[in-house]
Amino acid sequence: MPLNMARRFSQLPLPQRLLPLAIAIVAVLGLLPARHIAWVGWFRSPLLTVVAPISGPLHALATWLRPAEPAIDTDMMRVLREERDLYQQLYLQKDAEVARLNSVIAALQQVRAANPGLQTRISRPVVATASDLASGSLTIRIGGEDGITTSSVATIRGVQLLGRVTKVDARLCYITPITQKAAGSIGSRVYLAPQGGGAPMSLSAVLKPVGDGTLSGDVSYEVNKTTLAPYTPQIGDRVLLDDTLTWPTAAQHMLIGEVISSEPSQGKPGRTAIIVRPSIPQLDRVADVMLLTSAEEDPAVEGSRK
Amino acid sequence: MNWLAFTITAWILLGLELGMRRALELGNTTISPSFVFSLLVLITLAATPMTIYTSAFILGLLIDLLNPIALADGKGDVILLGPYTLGYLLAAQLMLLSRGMLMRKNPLTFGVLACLGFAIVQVIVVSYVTVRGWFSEPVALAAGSELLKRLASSFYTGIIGMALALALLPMASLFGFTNLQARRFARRD
Repeated sequence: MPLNMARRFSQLPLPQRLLPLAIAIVAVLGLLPARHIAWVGWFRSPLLTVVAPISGPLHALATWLRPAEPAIDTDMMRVLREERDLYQQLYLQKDAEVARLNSVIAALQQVRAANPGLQTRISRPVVATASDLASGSLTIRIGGEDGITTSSVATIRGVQLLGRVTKVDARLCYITPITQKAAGSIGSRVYLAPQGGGAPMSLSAVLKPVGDGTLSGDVSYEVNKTTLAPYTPQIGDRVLLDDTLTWPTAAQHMLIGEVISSEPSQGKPGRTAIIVRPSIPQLDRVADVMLLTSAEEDPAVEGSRK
Repeated sequence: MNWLAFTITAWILLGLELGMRRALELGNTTISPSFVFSLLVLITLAATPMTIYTSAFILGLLIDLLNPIALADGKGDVILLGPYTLGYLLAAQLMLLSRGMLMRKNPLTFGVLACLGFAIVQVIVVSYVTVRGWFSEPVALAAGSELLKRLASSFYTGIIGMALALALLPMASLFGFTNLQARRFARRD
């Protein structure tokens, strides 16, 4: 039976034999992944070129009949409206820029007030990252000749704590961001949002880098003396550095990030585990770093000497 | 069939399809008529089966080439040879099977055939693209809502088809379709 069918098919005229074949090819081609049929797009442009002489004028007619925007009274009105829209856009952009700069100034003033021993602030670009991205170390074009020491603190615009200077060459220094596992644990203080007009409350926490750009740890257990309910951090609470043992004074109370998760701790009943994300989500991808140098010695080095 | 007449008419109707379809859209619903399909209806009413299938294949292929389909998640678009080609072929097959029962010279018949045929095309297109999404990149096409809009477009195509029939049926002799000519001096069947 299949042989008969094949014989009958071969006796058909050529166009009748080609059409089923073409249909089968087209049906199969359409099912292939896009990367295998990208070449089909080559035929679209010539086809559009052929159709354009008739579709172009018709499209112009169609847009004249049904314009994309409502008709404007006069050319002058159109110009004025466009100018109004342009200046409104510029105004909003500048307004947002002013607000951003104001917040930076406020944060810088806060850092300055909290760090009277602060001496110099130097901004430098990051020139390289580690070839092994897991280490996350950043190389900055500034070194010992410029007064950088291992007690210098790397920040982003002097507000967001970036990490510590782990090694200093004559003209280069190396920074390990706090979110890298190599940075180790970090003492911090979670400032809870004031509730009911009460005094601001804070809880201490030791945070460890998770490895995905966040830090996690358990907060200390403290209760409200009137309600006896434990204080728990909320999402959005700010977390600042509070680690005088291993971090220089210049870095104290600097922003580590914001709480993005607050859940009961798995290992310690009654405690709350938090996850903190820095205000810059990927610390190891920053373009510029502001280094804060102070005259004091690195507490970690000082501790090891003792 | 006169293939030169077919080519010129297809060219004009493709121009209408690309140029005017957006202007005839109902609001912002994407419901709009097809012009090219009316040519297939005309051919289906009068030509031989092989000519009908060949025309359906060519017209479907042209529409496929002019209709890139957006991939999901903003990954660009892709030109699929298949949905409209198969849709036009199947629609032509069904119109061919039913033409013996119809009054072929009536514009109303033309419109109804255009509406039903184009509905079949749209069902095939949505089904084909949905099935393709099961084992290849998904496309940005929600089958349910899309099908409703496309069926509404079919109804719209039927209405436009009736208007086009007034121009296309008198041109049937240019295509070599003598069986669609009004007989002035002979007895009507």
